[in-house]
Amino acid sequence: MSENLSTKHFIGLENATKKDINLIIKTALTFREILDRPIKKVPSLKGINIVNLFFENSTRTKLSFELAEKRLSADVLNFSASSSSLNKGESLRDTVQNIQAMKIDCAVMRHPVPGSCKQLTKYLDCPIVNAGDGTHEHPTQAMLDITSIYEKFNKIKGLKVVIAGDILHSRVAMSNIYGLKSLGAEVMLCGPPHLIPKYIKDFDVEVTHDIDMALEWGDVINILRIQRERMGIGLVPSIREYRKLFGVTKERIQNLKKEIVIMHPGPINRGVEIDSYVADSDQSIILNQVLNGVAVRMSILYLLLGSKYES
Amino acid sequence: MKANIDISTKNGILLKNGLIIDVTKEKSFENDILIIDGKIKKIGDIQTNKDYHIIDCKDKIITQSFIDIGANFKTPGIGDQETLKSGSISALAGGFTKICIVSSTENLIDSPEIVKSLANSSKELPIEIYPICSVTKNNEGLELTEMGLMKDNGAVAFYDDNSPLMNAQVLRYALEYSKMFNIPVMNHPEDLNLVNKGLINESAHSNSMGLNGNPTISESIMINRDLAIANYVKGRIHIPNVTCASSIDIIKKYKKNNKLISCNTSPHHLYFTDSDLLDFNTNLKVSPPIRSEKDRLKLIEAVRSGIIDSISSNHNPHRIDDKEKDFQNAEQGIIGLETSFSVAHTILSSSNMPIENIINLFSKNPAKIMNLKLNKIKINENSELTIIDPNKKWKFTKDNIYSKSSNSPFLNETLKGRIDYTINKNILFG
Repeated sequence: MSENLSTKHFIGLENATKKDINLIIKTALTFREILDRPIKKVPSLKGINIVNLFFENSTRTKLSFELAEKRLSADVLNFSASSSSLNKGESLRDTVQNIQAMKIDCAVMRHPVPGSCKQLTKYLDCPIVNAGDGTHEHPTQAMLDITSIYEKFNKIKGLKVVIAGDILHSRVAMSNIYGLKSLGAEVMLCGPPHLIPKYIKDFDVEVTHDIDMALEWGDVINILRIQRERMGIGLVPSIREYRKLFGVTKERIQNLKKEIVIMHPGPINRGVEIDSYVADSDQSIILNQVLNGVAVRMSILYLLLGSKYES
Repeated sequence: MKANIDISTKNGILLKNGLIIDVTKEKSFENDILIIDGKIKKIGDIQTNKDYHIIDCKDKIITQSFIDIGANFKTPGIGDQETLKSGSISALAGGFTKICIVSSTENLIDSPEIVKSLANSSKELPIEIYPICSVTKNNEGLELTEMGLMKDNGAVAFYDDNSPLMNAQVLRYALEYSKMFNIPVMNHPEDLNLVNKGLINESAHSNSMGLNGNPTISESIMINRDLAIANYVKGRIHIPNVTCASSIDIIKKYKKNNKLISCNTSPHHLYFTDSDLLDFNTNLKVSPPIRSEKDRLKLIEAVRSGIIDSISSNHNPHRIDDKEKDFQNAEQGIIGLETSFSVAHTILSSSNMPIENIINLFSKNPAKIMNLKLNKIKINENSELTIIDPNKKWKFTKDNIYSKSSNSPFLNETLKGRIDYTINKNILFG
């Protein structure tokens, strides 16, 4: 493996090339095999310092990145800022100066403000990986979703993928749309009309508000978490109403005359957007997504940093 | 090279061979102008004299100096972003000698005492300052200010800068009450509920950038509301910062039968579109936001046809560290006095708008909106003149900034038409 991504940073899938996306999938599946071995560590990034900058709470993304970095033998630094200090609006320049002073080789950043990773690239020399920037993009999550679909079907082109839930406030949805469309999948969005962006049709996707119709249409459904913080401000009137209108329930799946692959980026609200029966069924690849998350992040870090330092 | 204020011109300034455009007479002619002691002494074919400061104005335009009706000089304030002095030099660099400064939440001009103290500190400035005072106390949108007492001390209009009057009844009271003073009430054209914390124009771009979108209806609905109220009570209203196509249709409809309505747009809304924000440039974070190409083209058409009466810089200086934050936390607003005319001229001249009409947007029309007197270009009048090189193509750089702040999206843009000199009485800047 001596190939590289065509970009220095990994900020989003909006402008990622098809070649890069395919390379990430291919490399991730190679790492995936390594993760099934008894000794799961490779020396690819030995001696390389990676800092995980988490300006927003995250459990699984952070763990997944940290594990990926350790599996690649990188030296890992973790930095977490409470969201309260961020509300005071630390300037990006200050953030950058801190990173540069630490002489690290790569920064993985999660930040609540859209565009912050892209802005950071103006000031910083080392590669930056976007671990989610507000409602902008979450490209590593999308890559693990796409890799999991690929692993299941051995193709992406021609597949029908439903993304269901609050699209408006989701960073995962947009990244998924870019990546899936780029590889030739069809995408349908399903959610309440006011939680689907008005101009989304410019991105060549189908939109429906009927979950039964979406389940009928799709080969795969990626069910987004309905965030409880959206409740109570009038956007989602109640959990029971959301479940009635958009929940992927046992009944809905049982009534379906075909199989559909079930995905969820987590954390799951069992009994709200998805029933336990569905999440734990044979059709579900939710736990594969988690494992592929590590493999995909290994793949991206390796493709950004690996060959540069390989002897 | 930085330009300077020169006051060593008491022996006379001779402007040779310029094209003189007097906006009060709507006529132009080529001639020389001699200025002595801050007054126009002679117009005609004038012999040069070694005592005179001679400016060759061949192929240049001499016209009345400009008026801006919406600059923020951060005054009263601590002076780290702008002062009356630095703002004045910035104004002179852009061809302005009269600036109407606005009352923002952090720099309130909402009592007669503040207006008076402002007048005192403006006495020694090289330009004239006219306060646009708050409509409501503390710009809170609740209680009307002492409009009458502020008018007595020099208020030219009433406006809670950037704080829309969300309560329609308060706007109605303001429009009715201010009828006694015959000066306009202004209201920031955004319905904050519909803005919904939007940071840029709502479009596929806001979508792909993951930023909350601010829809055009937040503006057009507010303008519709405000004009309906103004029409109903026969109040005098000026709408600042019009940015979108749907607003233009509404304004056009109301202006047809109502002479008490005026509006302006800003140079940056004529120049940029929301696709220029794709790299999250915080120097394009303004309120209302930069809109789509369709809106921009409609604005240009509305300026050409006279639906939009004037152009205002919306000059809003910020410290660099307040702009270098992430997009959400960065301050909104840009400086604009230095570039205002050149930017508008770049766009409008390429749309075949005659130079005389472009100039009217900066002097004749704002003077009318704010009841300000423009001197005529004739003998014994005070000399308040701006000299424009209309064909000069130039790159705007940090060297051209005189404001204390440098938050301009026009840095490194090539503009057409440059202000060569600004003359205010016996002050020569250039």
